[in-house]
Amino acid sequence: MAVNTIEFAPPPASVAAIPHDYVARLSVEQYHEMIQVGILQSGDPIELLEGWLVYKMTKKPPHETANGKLLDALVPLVPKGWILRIQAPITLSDSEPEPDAAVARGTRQDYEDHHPKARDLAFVVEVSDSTFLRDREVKQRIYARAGIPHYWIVNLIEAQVEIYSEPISEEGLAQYARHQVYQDTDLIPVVVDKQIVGTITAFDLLP
Amino acid sequence: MAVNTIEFAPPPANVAAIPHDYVARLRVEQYHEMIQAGILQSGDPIELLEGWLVYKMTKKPPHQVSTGLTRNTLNGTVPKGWYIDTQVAITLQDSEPEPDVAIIRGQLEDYLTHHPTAKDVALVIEISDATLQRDQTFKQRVYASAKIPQYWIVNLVEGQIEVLSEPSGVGEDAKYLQQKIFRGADSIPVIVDNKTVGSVIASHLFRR
Repeated sequence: MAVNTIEFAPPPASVAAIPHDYVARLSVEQYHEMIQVGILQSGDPIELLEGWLVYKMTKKPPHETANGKLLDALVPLVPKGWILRIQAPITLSDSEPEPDAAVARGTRQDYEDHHPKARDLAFVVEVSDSTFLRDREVKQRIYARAGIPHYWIVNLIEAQVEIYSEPISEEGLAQYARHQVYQDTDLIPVVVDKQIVGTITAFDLLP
Repeated sequence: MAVNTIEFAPPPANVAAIPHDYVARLRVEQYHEMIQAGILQSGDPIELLEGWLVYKMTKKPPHQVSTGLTRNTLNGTVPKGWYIDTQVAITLQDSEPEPDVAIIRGQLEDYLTHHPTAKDVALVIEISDATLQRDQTFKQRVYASAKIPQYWIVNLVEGQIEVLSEPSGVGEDAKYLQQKIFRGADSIPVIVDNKTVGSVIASHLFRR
């Protein structure tokens, strides 16, 4: 069966062109219905962030290499009772991002009819080059608001791994209270369900 | 059958929260598919403008009265081969606005399978109170970009009719080059298909 990639109208030329005070955003339920009826398709480079349909970036070779290293490094460390998901959606209250990696509780079968939710997740990882600003600001806000315990950014621009922990969410403001930066052979603790299940180095993850 | 009004997430608290440089907008075809699939319903207070789903305002009584007065007053001027309608969806390239009043080519039955498009429309009218700013700027751009020949704003805030004509430009730069203001007993020419087909008195279009 042929798969058609669906075309969306491009982003607006300027921020002034956005009718921001009365524009309606989509709920996660509406987003799911759009997928179900085929208005959105699984191959579309689109994810839902805070009610907006946003474009995902095309992945360049270093990004793909980092994704592969991430997979190789994490697979041996994922403890029993947890699974590693790669570029798979997670369903949050107003977003459905698709982090490069996510460690979720349970078995693959558990997610046959729904994506993991925030409470199912130990941590999520984004590999960042062209999306760094989005990942550090918008995605940090989204993951912190959802209360996902740990958020990793594999920062290809500065060749470092950033670990964000202790999510706080107050009125309108969400962020992680703790930021740690790891470079070269620095040991990164891999924390699942408050237990350190192993360590890897920044070097293991960076291309 | 019960009709559920669909809930959308509210507008963002500030413009900084909009991921403007990578946000995808909807095409008219996608908007139509959402209506067809019931993700949007005809009662929803939503219209598509430049690819955004935007909230329509709740209409207050003076707005409804003015819509009726404008329709009734214009009715006598509408030539053969055209008709007048209210709150009708018009399908444009990247928008599907629902102007309060419009003069449309043909007859109602011509639009059983599709809404009127820009070339079918001689005049669109927005009755403006709470939406005045949006109608003067954003809607002006939408209608001018589609080259709809005449756009009237019944400005309930200032008690005047703003008549916009000579659409020019596309997209964000589109606007009407001619803008005239009519008040009180001023006579407004009604132009359909480049011909003046009659006139109406400004004060007959609204009560405040």
